Formats: sequence, C-alpha cells, structure tokens
Amino acid sequence: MPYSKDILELKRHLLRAAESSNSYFDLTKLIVDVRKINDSEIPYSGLGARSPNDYFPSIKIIGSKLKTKENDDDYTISNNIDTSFTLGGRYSTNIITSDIPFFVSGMSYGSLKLPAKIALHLALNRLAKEGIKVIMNTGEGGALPWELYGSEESWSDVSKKRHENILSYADRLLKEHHLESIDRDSLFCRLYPLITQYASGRFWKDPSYLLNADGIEIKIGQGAKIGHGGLLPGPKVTDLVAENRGIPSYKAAHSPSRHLDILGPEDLVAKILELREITDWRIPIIVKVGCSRVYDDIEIILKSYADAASIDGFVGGTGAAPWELRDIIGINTIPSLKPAREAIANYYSTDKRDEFRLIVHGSVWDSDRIAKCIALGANGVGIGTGFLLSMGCTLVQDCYTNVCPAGLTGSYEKLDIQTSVNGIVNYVKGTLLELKNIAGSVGRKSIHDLRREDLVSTDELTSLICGLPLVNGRTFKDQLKEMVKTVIDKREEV
Amino acid sequence: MNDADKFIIRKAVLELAKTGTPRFTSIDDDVRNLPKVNSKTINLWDYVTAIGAQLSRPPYDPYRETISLDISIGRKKSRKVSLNIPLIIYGNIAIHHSSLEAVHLALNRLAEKGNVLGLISEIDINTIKDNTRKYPLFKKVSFYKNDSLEHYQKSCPEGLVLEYKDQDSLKILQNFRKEFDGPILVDVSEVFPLYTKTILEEGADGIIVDTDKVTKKERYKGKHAIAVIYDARNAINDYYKGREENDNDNNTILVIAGDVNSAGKIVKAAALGANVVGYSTSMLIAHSNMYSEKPSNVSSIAENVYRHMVGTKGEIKGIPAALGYSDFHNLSPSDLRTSSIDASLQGNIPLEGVDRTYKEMIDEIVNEYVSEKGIKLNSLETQQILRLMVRE
Amino acid sequence: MCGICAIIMENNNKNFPIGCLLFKMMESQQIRAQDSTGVAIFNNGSNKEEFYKIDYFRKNNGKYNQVTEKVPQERLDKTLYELTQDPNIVIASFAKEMNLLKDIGLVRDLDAKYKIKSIQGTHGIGHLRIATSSRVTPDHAHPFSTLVMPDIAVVHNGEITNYSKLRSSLELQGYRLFTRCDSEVIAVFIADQLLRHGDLEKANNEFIKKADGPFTYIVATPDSLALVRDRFGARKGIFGYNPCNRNCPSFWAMATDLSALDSVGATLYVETPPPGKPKIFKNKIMIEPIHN
Repeated sequence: MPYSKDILELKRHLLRAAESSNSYFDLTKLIVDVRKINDSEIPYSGLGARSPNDYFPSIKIIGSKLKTKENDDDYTISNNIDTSFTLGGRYSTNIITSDIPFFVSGMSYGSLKLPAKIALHLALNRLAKEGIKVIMNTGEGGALPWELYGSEESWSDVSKKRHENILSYADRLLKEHHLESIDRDSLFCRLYPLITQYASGRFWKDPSYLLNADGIEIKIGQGAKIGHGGLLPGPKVTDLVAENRGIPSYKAAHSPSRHLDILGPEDLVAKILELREITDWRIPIIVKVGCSRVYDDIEIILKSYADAASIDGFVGGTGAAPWELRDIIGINTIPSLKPAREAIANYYSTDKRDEFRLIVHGSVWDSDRIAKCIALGANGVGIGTGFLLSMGCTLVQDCYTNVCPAGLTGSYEKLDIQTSVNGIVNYVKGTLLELKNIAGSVGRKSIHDLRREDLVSTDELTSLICGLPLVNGRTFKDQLKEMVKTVIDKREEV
Repeated sequence: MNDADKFIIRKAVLELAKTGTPRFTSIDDDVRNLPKVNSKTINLWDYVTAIGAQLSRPPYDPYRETISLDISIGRKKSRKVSLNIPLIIYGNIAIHHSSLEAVHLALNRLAEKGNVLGLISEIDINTIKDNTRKYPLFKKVSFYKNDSLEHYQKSCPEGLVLEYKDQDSLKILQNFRKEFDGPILVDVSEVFPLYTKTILEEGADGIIVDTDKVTKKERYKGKHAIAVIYDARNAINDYYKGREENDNDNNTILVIAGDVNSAGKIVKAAALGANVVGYSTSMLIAHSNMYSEKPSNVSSIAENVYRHMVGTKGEIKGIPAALGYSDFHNLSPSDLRTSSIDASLQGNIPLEGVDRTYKEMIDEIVNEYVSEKGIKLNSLETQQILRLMVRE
Repeated sequence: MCGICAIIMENNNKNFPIGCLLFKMMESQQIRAQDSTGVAIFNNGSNKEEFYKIDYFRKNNGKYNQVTEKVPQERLDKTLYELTQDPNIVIASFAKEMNLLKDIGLVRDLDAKYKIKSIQGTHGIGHLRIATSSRVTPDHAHPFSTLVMPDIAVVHNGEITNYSKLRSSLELQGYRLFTRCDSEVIAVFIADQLLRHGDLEKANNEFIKKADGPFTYIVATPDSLALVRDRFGARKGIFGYNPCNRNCPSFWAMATDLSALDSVGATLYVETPPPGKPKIFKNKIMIEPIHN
C-alpha cells in the first residue's frame, strides 16, 4: 500500500511503544490504528478476511488426483466426465446451463476497472466458442453495454436514439481506457449466460438490465461484509462509473445495508413474485446471502419462490469493506454447507421437487476446493478472487484505492488485456481438466456424483463440524462416544 | 490470508493461468505441508466471529439510522455517570505527564461533540494547565498510601477505582462506600476470581478485570481473555440469581481491559458480557510520541488521539448494526461462533455450522449413551463425566 | 413472521361475526406466508361462566397433542403452578373471555377445523406465519398468550433481536416462557407491565424502549387493541376505517399490508402510526337509546 511517510513513521513509533509495553497489543493490526489517527475514518481493506482455520486443508478427497498419467487405465480422460451445471426450472421456465460447475462471482464495474471487465468478457466469449460455457455475474454496479446488448435480438426493442446513446457510452468507456481500437462487433457479442445482480443500491437505469439477463441474483448480502451494504469509495466513482450507476461522481457509494423494500421474508416473497411477473416467469432467480444464520436464511429462501440460494463465506473477497467488520462477521464456507443442506433436506421431506440449487462462494480457488464443496453438498461454486489471480492479482488488498499493481482495480493502464484473456482461459481449462481428473480418479462419471463418503478429515474439529470420518475411519464423534462409554462403564463397575 | 498462504495461492493459480494444464498438487496439499503455526502465537480471538444479520433478521444501517452506544454506570444508590461510548481510557503504560495531558485534551474535545468517554487515572489531573473536565474521571485509589477520601476528592472525580488486593482493601471499600456517592469500580485483576460476591455485596458499582494480568496468574495459565470475561460475567450473574433486585435495573457493570484494544475485540468482549471496555490504545498513541525522533507538541498528539477515537466509534457503531442491533449493549453470547474447540470451552461459544457449544455436543453424546443403556445419572455425576470428557 | 391483522368494532357491538372479516383479511395475504396461522377473538363480557379455559400442547415424541382444561377460580393457582413446572407442555391460550385458536397450515384449514368464519365478537386479531428463526410447529404459531395474565394475545411481525436478554430478565423475575419464539416475550412483557400499573400505552412504550430489532405487533386485551411499531418503523403496519353500512356496523381494521385492508373495505382514514408510538383502539360503549 502506498502509505505516506508520515503514516509509516507513526506506525513505527506505535510499534516501539507497543513492544515495550506490558500490555498486549496486536502488532499486526497497528496499521489500522494508524490509519484511524490519520483521517479519523473507518479504515477499509480489500479482498478477503484472514481466517486462521478455513477447513479446506483439513479435508482430503480419498484417492483423488489432479493430474492424469498417459496410458493410465484407471482414469477416464477428458470428455467422458460430466461437469455441467444447470440452474433454474424450479419456478422458472428457462434453464441456464453451463459446462463447468463454477462461474465468475459478482465483481462490479467500478470496483474493477474496465480493462479487467473486458478481459473477463472476451475470455468467456472465447471459452464459449471452444465449447465451454461459463456463467458470469455482473456484480452490483450495473452491467456494461456489451453485456446487455450482446446479440441481434437484444437490440430489437431499442429505439434509434437509445441505440445511439448506448453506443456513445460504450465509445466513451473505451476511450477513457485507451481501448478504442477494440473491434466493436466482437465486443458487442455475448456468448455466455449472464446473471445480473439485484442489490440494495439498485445501480442501473436501463430496464434491459433485468429483461436481457439470463438470470437475476437478489443480493441480500455478501460474505465479506455481512450486514453492510455495497461500498465503492469516492475516488473510484469516476464519471463513467457514476453514469452507469446513476449516482453522483466522486462521492462514496454506500448502498443501504438492507433492501429498503425487503424487510422481512414476506417482502422477499413479494419481491420475487414481482420480478417473476416482469420477466414472465422465464428466468431463474437466485438469492445471495452471506454465511451467518445459514439454516434460517436458506429456509426462508426455499419458501420464497426462488430457484437457487447462494451462500458466501466470510472469507470471500470484496473490493472494499471496513477492515474490522470484514474480519469478524460471518462464518466460514465449509461449516455453512451442512446446515444449508439440512434446511433443503427438511424442506423437501414434504415436497418432491429437486431443481433447487445451492451455490457456494468464499475462498474457493482451485479444482480441489470446488470438488470438496460439491462433495459436501453444493451444486455450483462462484469464484471471484481466483479469476483476479489468473489476471495477475498480487493480493496486496488495496482494491479500495485507485492503485493496483496488476491494473485490475486501479492503475488500469498496467493491465494487458490479451495476456489476461489467455490467463482466464487457461485457468478455466486447467481447472476443468483437474475436476475431470478428480472425478475420474475417484471412479465417478460426473463431478456431481462426488459424495461426503469420498471425503476424509485430517483434524478433529473438521470431523466434528462436517461429520466426516478421520483418517482412521471413525468420526471424532465416534471417538468421543467411545470415551464416554469407557468413562461411564468404569463408574458402573465401581 | 497470511503471507505464506498468499504465496501458495498465487503460485497455484498463476501456474494454471500460464499453462492451462493440471498441476501436481493442490493449494490445500501445499498448505497442509506448511510447518505448523506455533500455538503460542495464536490469539484465540481470531477464531471467534459474530454472526451477522441477513434474512432471518435485517441489519440496521449505521450511516442512516441511529445506533446507540450509551451506557449509565452506577447502581440504584449511587450517583450515575453516563458515557456515550462504552470505553474508559485505561493504561498500564507508564504515563508521562504530557501524554496524559494530550489524552485529557482529546477527551474534552470528544465530550464537546457529544462523545463522552471515561478516564481512569492515578495522576492528579489538577497539575494540567487547563484542567476543566467535560468527561468523567475515575480516580484510581492508591493502595499503598493510606489516604483518606478527602485526598482523592480534591480532583472532584465522578467515580473511584479501587484495586482489590486483600482484606484491607475490603475495609477501604467499606469506608469509601459510606462516604462517596459516585460509582466505585473495584479492580479485581489481582484476586480474580475470588471476592466478587463480597465486593458486590459491599455496594461496588462494578468490577474491572484486566485480562492481561489475570492470564499471567496461575489459575488462568494457558487460558485466554475469553475464559476470563466469561467467568467474570457469570460471577456477576450468579450474584444476582434469586435476589430481589434485577440486574437490569441496577447497572452493575463489568469493565474488561487487557487484550481488547481493537474494535473487533471490543465487540466480541461486549457479546461475551462486558459492559464497558478499558481501552488502552489511546494511551499508547499518546505515549508513542516518546519514541519519535521529533516529538510533537501536546495539541498535535491530542489531535491524533481524537481522530483515532472518532474512527473507533464509527467501527463499534457499524458492527452491531450489521448484527441487527440498534443498541450496542444488546450484543449477546448467542451472536458469537467459533472455529476452535478451545474457545468453545473457554467461553461457552457455539461452534460454527453446528450452532452448539462443544460442551453441549458432549452432553448430547452422554445423554444418548445413558438412555441407550438405561443408566440413570444424577446431575452431579453428569457434571463429573462432562468435566472428564472435556479435559481429554 | 409475516402477516398480522386485526378488527375492532367501533362501538361495542357484540356478536358480530368478526371471524369472517379476519378470515377475509388473512386469505388475501395467504400466498406470502403459509407455515401456520391463528386468531384470537374477544366478545366483550360474554363469558357468563366463572371458569378459566387453559389450552396447551403436550409434547410427546415430537407430536403435539392439544389439551383443553376448564379451571374454576379456586383451582386456578394450583393449576397454573403445575403447568409452569411441567417441562413437556407449551401453553397455547390462557383465557376467561378470549377465544384463541392456532395451528400449522393455511387459514382455510383452521376454518375447517374450528369454523372461524362464524365466531362472533367485538374485536379480534389474526396472524399468518412464515418462520424466520424457529421451527414450524403448532406451539410456535401466533397469537401468543401467557399464564401471567388471562386474555392477553399478541400477534407479531418482525424480530426481537435482543430476545435472549429480555427473556432472561423475565425469567429472573420468575416468569416461565414455554417456547423459543421471540414473539412470546412480547406477551409476557406486556402482561407483566399491566400487572404493575394497568396502563396499556405505558406498557407498550416500555417495550418499545427495551426491545431491539424491527417489529410491528398488535396486542389484544378484553377491551382494547394496540398497534405498535418499533422506533425505526422498520416493519409495515397500517390501519383503516370502514364506516357503517347495510352489512355491518363501523369498524377499524389493522394489517401489515394495504391489500388486506382493501379486502374488508376499510379504506377510509388509512394511516400508518408513527414509529415508536403505540396506537390504541378501544371499544366504545354504545349508549342504548332510551325507550319512551
């Protein structure tokens, strides 16, 4: 972080005072205090919280391998393993299909600079042309013109004047980032499914945001800042970002903590019914919540006519969140899967449908983690930081400023779009191959056939929370039962 | 993500992004092979989080709705002291006179803007040039000098802090209680967990527990601030069980100091049962001026302390709002979750995902086995078994 | 929670089929909340007999069996004590005049079981539930009643977020709460306040001060209804008036949503009470005309 000399000096003095004091001070967090001294504001941070225990490393998929050997009979290589993911059908008439069980989580234009958004768009187009359809989520800050108008028919109801406005806005966007040379035809083309995010800020002005989408995600909250609304710091609200969102420029955009018209579960029902009416019951509707009271929230979503629920662990990334709030609110991704599955199982004991989908986000970066989530009950996985990393993110967590060493959330001139597109395409293909290898090496025909029985935990807490056996075959709960038996039986003897 | 994890994650994804071909090992394989973190450097607070408001309860908006942080100190008989922010400036740091003056100026400025915090000090504030106070002072009674109440009342304190060491301290408490009508807070860190009941019976308005001091003592060796706060809150609740007066009308407060010097920890301590936090960072900021090559003047340090507190206030308003509370003091233990069995045992905090404490899970296992085998256990025996299980 | 509604006759018209109006309001909102439903209807001063009626659920292996006990005054204290000590029961209703009926399922199921549409009274409240944080069982349906005082019923839309604090403070005073549903706390709190000073407005003001979280609730006593919203007005609540016409005398109606008021024609003077200020409705005593 490009901290000024004064700030660094303050930090140094504070550090020396803290080290020589008898009291305990968390030396790694002194920078938070220094930033408050500097400007009396709540300090922000970017990307995800640090959780000392995020459970993933304590889980293993028995016998899985990421890489195949040539001429190996055990593994079915490539095309035979099913990795597709479908969304919708519970109440919507359309079903979105993607060829991989993971997709791009919502990262808004505003928190990401335009070149990064274009790189994602072009990469997903390229993958679609090669037969791999990947779903993209627009994020909270509205959609870009080529995302909404990426096909011939999307222009059909658009007046000439509006058509001109849209193209002019696109031109201005590209001009600001010195990208005028991009071919408009290949840009205004969307070959992948798009989910638009319906967040509390309602940052869009064009009704096609809902009408031209393939799916709508109502964002109640996200894992990084549960209970806090979306946040874009003032310096990042440039004129073009402000124009897309319909807000004043260079003023911090604090979305409300809750949707002003969704105060309770009955309001969520009313809102979803309203959206269904607007979209003719065609497109799937997802509800996204941060992981906190998972059982209760999923129960409400099940009763609210949604097609899917999306849960985001508290280690999920973000463009900007108040530092302390990000670090202390919410629970990890893995422990949330069990109550979510239980809520779904309890609901369906009385109703026979099974098109309800559970999507999971929050520090799921590679195929191994995706497979673990699916084995524990997720149907699909959203990845955010992983895609940023494939574009060169260096994890400095300064996303809330205009300075980014990789050119993703700031300093946009640093990003080379072609390299980023290649990176994203390779990341998706590599992860896809690894997923197929994992499923194949465990003997399954589909990634969705991975079950809890394929997992083992390497520590007691994970075994207790996820109900998985330890390496010796027994769960920690079984071991505790044995201990209880020994203790009680000994007493009975006496 | 700490630095080691970041390196592994970047390496993994960059490899995929460069080659598009499968890797040999996954991120988790590499993380598993990292050397184990030294348990001494782990702070158990990091394993405790709070569950936020989403659908089953809606969050409040701290930017647009009033979140109350007010608290009143003083039981029925005492004159009350009101704070707008539940923090009392506390410092075990050797205080230089100029540092105290800087804190004093900052507290005055905060009070002017309607943000009243308290200050605990043994140094005579009257030695400061402009010593008019707009904030409440809790004068620390020195144990070694046998001064009378008049000596302390020279500074016109709103409250007193008495360090409890032994039976003599009880006599001092009794004497002062007869003559002083403001709140008396008793610092029990030296003797905790003993004497709480006696102290409250003698009319103390609250107890101060410094977790740093307590966890260095034999009784709490190897334990964390979480255990101390949990036990302190239980001690106060036990005192009120079955009594006529209800704790809610009496405002007996628990002041927790020690490892609670950031907004996140303040909120977690409050959820575990602290009413007010003894906050040391302001003193640290003032004192750090001593380590500067070019020490600043008092008013700049005061400015630093002021700005820091404004930021901290924003943080401790935002977090309860995100948990669904419009009043900071409604935080409760049921809002916390943990990813550590140790933390669950020390603070009776539910484990995340299963939403039951570790003790409750053992309880379930015991009950299951007992009813399976048709054994009858009385509550004492059950307690003994639980204790044995938990120690393993 | 979800949909609350209430009707009160403007003048003390006894024996009007209030149940029918409540049914209409609840049916109009049914799509939003289908877990459980309940009503509490009062017919001011109609219970000529001197016994108390206590309804409770007895838990047995996950099933809830409903039991009704008719208790005369002399046995009342003993019965109340026994019920409070029994861990397997959950109180549904403690009444002398009130008729409280609730169960899981839709309002038309409740009507089929108890013939709600034909219940007569001077005022009544109704509720449709979609569970937010406790299980869907008959004992968690609203309205909530309490053993602290007979003829108190509460329907609630929202969450009392400092529920555990309020609950433990009431338990410390010796009151027993039977469910883990936060709405029960409102009934016990208000009843406790009424025991202390009898003023419904003061009782509600105390609750607004002490409780945290978004809520709108209606509390019913033998002669009045109160519509109460939290300090921030974070949950909806409105009332409207239907003037006297051929079909029925004039009445006030309260509901979460405007469409419920429309369904019973209470479309005059529609207002939403300011947040944090309880709106009390009382039955006016109708003055009989003097016959010459």
